[in-house]
Amino acid sequence: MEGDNSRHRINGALMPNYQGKHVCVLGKAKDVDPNGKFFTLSTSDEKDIRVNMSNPLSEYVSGLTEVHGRVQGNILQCENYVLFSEDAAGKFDMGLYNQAVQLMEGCPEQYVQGVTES
Amino acid sequence: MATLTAGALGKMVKDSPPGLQAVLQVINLKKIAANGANDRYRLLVSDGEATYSHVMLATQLNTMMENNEIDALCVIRVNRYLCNTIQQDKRILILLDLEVLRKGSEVKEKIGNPTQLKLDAAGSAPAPQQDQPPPVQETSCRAAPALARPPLNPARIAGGNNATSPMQSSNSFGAKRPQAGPGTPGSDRVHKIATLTPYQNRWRIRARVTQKSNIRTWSNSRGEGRLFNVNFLDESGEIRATGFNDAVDKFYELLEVNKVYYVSRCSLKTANKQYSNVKNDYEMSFNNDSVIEKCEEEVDLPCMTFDFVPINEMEKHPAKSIVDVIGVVKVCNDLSTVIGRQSQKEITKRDLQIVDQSGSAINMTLWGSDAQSFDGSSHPVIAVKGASLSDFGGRSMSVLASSQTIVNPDIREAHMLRGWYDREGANMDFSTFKSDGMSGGGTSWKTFGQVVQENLGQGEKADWFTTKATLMHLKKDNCMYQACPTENCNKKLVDQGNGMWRCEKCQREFPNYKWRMILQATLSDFSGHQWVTSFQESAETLLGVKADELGDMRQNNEAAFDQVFQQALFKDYVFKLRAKVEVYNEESRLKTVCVAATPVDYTQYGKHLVEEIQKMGL
Repeated sequence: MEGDNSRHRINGALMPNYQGKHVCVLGKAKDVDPNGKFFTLSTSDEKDIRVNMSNPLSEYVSGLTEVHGRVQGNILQCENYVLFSEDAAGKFDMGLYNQAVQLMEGCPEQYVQGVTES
Repeated sequence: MATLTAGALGKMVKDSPPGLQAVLQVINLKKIAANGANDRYRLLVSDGEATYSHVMLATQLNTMMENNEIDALCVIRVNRYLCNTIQQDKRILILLDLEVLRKGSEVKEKIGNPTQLKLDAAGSAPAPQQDQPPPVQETSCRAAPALARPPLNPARIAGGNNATSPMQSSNSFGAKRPQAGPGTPGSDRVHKIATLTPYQNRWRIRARVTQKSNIRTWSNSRGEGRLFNVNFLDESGEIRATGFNDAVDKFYELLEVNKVYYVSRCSLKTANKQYSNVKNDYEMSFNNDSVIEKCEEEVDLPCMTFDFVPINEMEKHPAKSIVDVIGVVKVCNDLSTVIGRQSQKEITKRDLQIVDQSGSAINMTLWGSDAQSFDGSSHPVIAVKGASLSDFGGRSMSVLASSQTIVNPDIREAHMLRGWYDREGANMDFSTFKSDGMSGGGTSWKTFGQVVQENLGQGEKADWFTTKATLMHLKKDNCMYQACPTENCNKKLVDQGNGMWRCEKCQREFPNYKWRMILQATLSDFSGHQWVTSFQESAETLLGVKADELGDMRQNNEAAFDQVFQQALFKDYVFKLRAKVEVYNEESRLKTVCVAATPVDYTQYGKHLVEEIQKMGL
């Protein structure tokens, strides 16, 4: 959609709700394709989704990763990603994060994620 | 001719079975003028075999006398009566309700040939009293300790309920009461502690001494004296007893902790909760009539009862309260001495850190001989009944003179603690009351807006709460002072001008000092802000430097000093605060003290927020 500047934080279960939209998914990266074209992201609610890269990866991704991209079917088309350090990953409480995602989804009035231009 | 109930008088006087409706003859009557009150009528009554003259008519029946319904030699049936004991052993029957079966004018003569009812041990009640089964007799034979106590006989008979006849046959006991086992029928009646009241004084309890204080002396404007206290415990409850002056001599050595005694004839009165934590509305004192005897047989009485408070819940109890606690000694510090503030004498003490499964630790201070003899090397379990809880350092505990301390008690909680500590407790990290802001603290979370809304601090006691806030402003001036270098003394020193500093509390002069901080800061959250004062530990956390370093900087490196204050601003912490409204010159102000400041643990804080959100029902 044009003019849609929101990028909701979601987990695996919410993917279908955001078909074609820009989202932000935080999870654990694994199973990187040898050519760097795609990898698997294990989401905060323990679902595995495939992340396709537009430009092949130039570095090895693993551990806590945040992917910004567009939802296309079951695949997340990656536009940007953020890698977190081992240190930060160690302190991160995935369960709590998932709860936060669910709460945000449940209370869109209270947790406004981006603005939609009409 | 109406038949009198032979032997009834003896029963009524000794046992007073409430259902007994005896048929008696009134031999004689006498009016007694009472002081300003109703007339009382005293009767000489016979049951055909015995007569008794300590019989009074209840005033509600006075009209029967005035109408001449009751006349000399009439036969009555007593429907209700009471037997009161006055002085040592005088028993008076009070007739509460009766029916005249035959008028004296009809009967005309004394029925039978009654003799005066005797009450002492040797001359017992007549044969009908022998309704006790033989086993009692044998038991009484068995329980023949050498402790025959003849002088107590009259007192004991007065206090006891049961017939003494079975043992009269073997006077070598010195008439000791038959101590039948619990299952034996007809054994001497023992009352439950829970039933004791000041309004009923014919009772006997059988109880264990769970606590015995030392003999204390007092001297005040009204005189002086000695006293001691014990706590008695039986299956129904506990009661505290005090002995003054002579009672100290009589009973102090006799009563030993954990032994069981028969006790009777003490004065009951409403309990003074100030001095005791025993759960009973009444307490008793030993008087000249009181009787205490050791109970020789095995009785299944509970040992000391405790009402343990888990360590993490100590904060819920107000400071200066008395609580029971049990925990494992994780840290046992060395003996130290302090000067008593009032006594100016040296007192030895030992601080222990005890922990329990709640994950919290608390300081416990032992004093005097308890401190000296304590060995914490094997991480023993320690149980303290009646320890005092203070808000020093958040929360800390101390053994009082009235407390009872047991090391490694043989109770379920102790065994569970032992198992837990050996398995996991020894390696656990415990939250203490000083630095803990989040878990196990027991204080509730509040925002500054809520502090104002809920009028925190305005009650009699200070309100404790936890909050997450940002440090907005710090007062640089007057944030530190020179304090006495003595351990545990933080009094501000007076500059003598000659390079020496004087501490008024320790009464000493020092060439050195230590810097102590008193930091005033403004904290804010989304709902409001609050001026808060922090002392040493929390101030050091907020500023990120130690007090002594800061003191140096202030004198030698102003730039660095300013930098510290700048850098500290706008950081978030979880604060544990204590709010209290105080009055200064007729103006009341909310004073808030920071007891602890911890950097935010976002995971924990996040969990707290989720809880709060869930409470909102979203």
